[in-house]
Amino acid sequence: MHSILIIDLSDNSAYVEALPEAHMDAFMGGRGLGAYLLYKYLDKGVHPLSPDNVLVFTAGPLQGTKSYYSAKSVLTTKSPLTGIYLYSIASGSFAHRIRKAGYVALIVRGAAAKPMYVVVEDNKVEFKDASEYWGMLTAPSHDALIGSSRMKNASCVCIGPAGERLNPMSCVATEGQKARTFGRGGAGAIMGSKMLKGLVVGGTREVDVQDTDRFAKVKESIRETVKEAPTWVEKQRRFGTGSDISAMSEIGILPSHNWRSGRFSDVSSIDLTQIEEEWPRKNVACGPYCISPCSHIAQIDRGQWKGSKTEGPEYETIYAFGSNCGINRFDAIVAAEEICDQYGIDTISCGASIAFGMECYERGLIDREMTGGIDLSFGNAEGMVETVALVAKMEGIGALLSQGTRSASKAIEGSESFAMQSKGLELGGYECRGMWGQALEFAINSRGGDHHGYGLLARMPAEREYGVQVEGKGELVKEAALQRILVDSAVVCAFPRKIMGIDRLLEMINSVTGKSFSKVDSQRIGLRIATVERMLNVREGARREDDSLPERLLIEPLPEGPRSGSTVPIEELLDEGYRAFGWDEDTGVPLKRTLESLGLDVLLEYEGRQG
Amino acid sequence: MVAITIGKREEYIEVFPQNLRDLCELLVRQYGIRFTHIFEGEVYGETQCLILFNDKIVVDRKAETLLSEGDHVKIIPPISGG
Repeated sequence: MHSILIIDLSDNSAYVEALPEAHMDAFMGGRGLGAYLLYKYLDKGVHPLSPDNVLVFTAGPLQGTKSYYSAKSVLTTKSPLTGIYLYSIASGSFAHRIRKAGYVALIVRGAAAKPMYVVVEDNKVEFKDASEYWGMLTAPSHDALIGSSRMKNASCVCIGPAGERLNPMSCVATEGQKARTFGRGGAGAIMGSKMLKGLVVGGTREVDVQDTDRFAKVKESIRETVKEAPTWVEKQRRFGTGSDISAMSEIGILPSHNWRSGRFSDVSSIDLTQIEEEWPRKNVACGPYCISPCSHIAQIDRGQWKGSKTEGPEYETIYAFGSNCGINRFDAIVAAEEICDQYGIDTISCGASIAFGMECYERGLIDREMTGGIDLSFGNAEGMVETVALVAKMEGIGALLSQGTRSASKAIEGSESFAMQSKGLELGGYECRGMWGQALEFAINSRGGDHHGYGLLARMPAEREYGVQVEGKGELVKEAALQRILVDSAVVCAFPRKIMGIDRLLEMINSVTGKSFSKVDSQRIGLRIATVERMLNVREGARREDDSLPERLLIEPLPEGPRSGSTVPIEELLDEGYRAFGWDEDTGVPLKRTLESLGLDVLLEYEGRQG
Repeated sequence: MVAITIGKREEYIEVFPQNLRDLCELLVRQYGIRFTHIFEGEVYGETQCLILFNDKIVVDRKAETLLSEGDHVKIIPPISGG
């Protein structure tokens, strides 16, 4: 039996609920457990900023131990940006602290009347006044809240001014100066709506490893494999996720100028492998228990953004503020990311919204009066950085752009076709007109235009080679999705998943828990979780027509690159995807037989369509 | 002469390989083990390189693709993204 701590801010109460072992087994933990608990504790139709929305922080079976790559935590809620299901993953120790406090999940509900933070230490829960911290940037907030808790080994999640102002792009930050975030979907605004500045968690419980010899052996095996992949390790160490930008432009999958093209002519100026000496960065790990660290600290030592500092920038940020805005200045990208870190907003949605704004400006749909005098042309680095600050503060043109491209495009006539979002979430940086599996992932995954949720198809050789082929894409997406869902539910880093392999991940889980999950079990669990995620959106009324992509991708042929001339055949792809996942082809609703086969018909109290 | 782009480095090969397989073997001899997995399955975290042949993606790893004067072969390293 496991424990869930439920914190109610409306009356400063907290209580523990038991989670049966069978439910933990059915959903693994992390992302899976989060989806299940959200389905259970969130009523249909709740406004994301209502006190009735819940924040579900979950750990997985490996947190609390020294499992490799386990410094990740999951947050699940209903997004104010999209209005649908949101899960988000941050690096750091927060989930480890949840387990150390004796829980597998923390659920926050209700809303306080004034700024508050909550301290959880083992079975003690304290509600404290956060008035003096309200308005503080994320890193000082984090440090102040941790300091005030007086716990030696504690972890904190908190919001910055963006979350306090209910910015729909705001994120929940953790790890202080390291600026790790639960980035996508606006969870920061939910904390802001609850007047919750932060949550500090620590504890003294031990998480027992059931078979220590087996655990040690699998870790040794992973270490050996890492040693046998020195090229990969070196690439991670020197460049992180930003090592392949030129390659991506060459293949034609690096979105540029608001997705007008998949190639960027100035890519060499923002390719980390080519500017390594010009803009050196320091390699760091994003959290403990990582044996192939891939994060970096970048600090600008000259020019107009001298002093700007960030942990990153990662590939997505380089795409969002770089190629997608037509920007060839690395220092501008770092400056933009620093503002996002400090205020607590998502770099992907921010950058994509600014790129959208740039296209509106170029087309004359918005003018200099609306931008407050900013020249919002593509390629104008100063204009981009200024606008990031406005988006973070929700001022001037930032008040509109901070609402996300879906909302902003409804306010700017003639702009919907190039609002690059799906279900309200701005697309991750993988031009998909030439990679239809990636397109299908964007369209059907349950949190919106997300490159992570169903496995980042762009990495897969089969996708890169057979991109413009419908047949088989459903099964390819499903295969990638189930693996990714397992990784997210075990709560380990996705980057070394091929190094670790599903077999060894399961071995690590089994050695810690004493269970015997097989690969077949893991696929079934993954499909169960994908189905619950889907049902969360179905419950809110989402149907096939919501699994859409921007019109640009459907009717404007990719202008250059190896797959020039391609557009996305969305309807055929959806048919493929729905068949693979066992969803009704007309509506996108999981079929009753799918729910029954996964044991979900009773659990979700769903009658459903026959089929 | 065939133009080769390997990652970001461009070379011109004067010795005339008949097909892509010959070319890659030549590159292996010249540059070492890094290219041996171009036509192989995944090796741990190292996925296959992508080959662009005159700006089109070579599918099925067609090693027998014949080369002609003026062809441009680009060998794109595996991408990780994130």
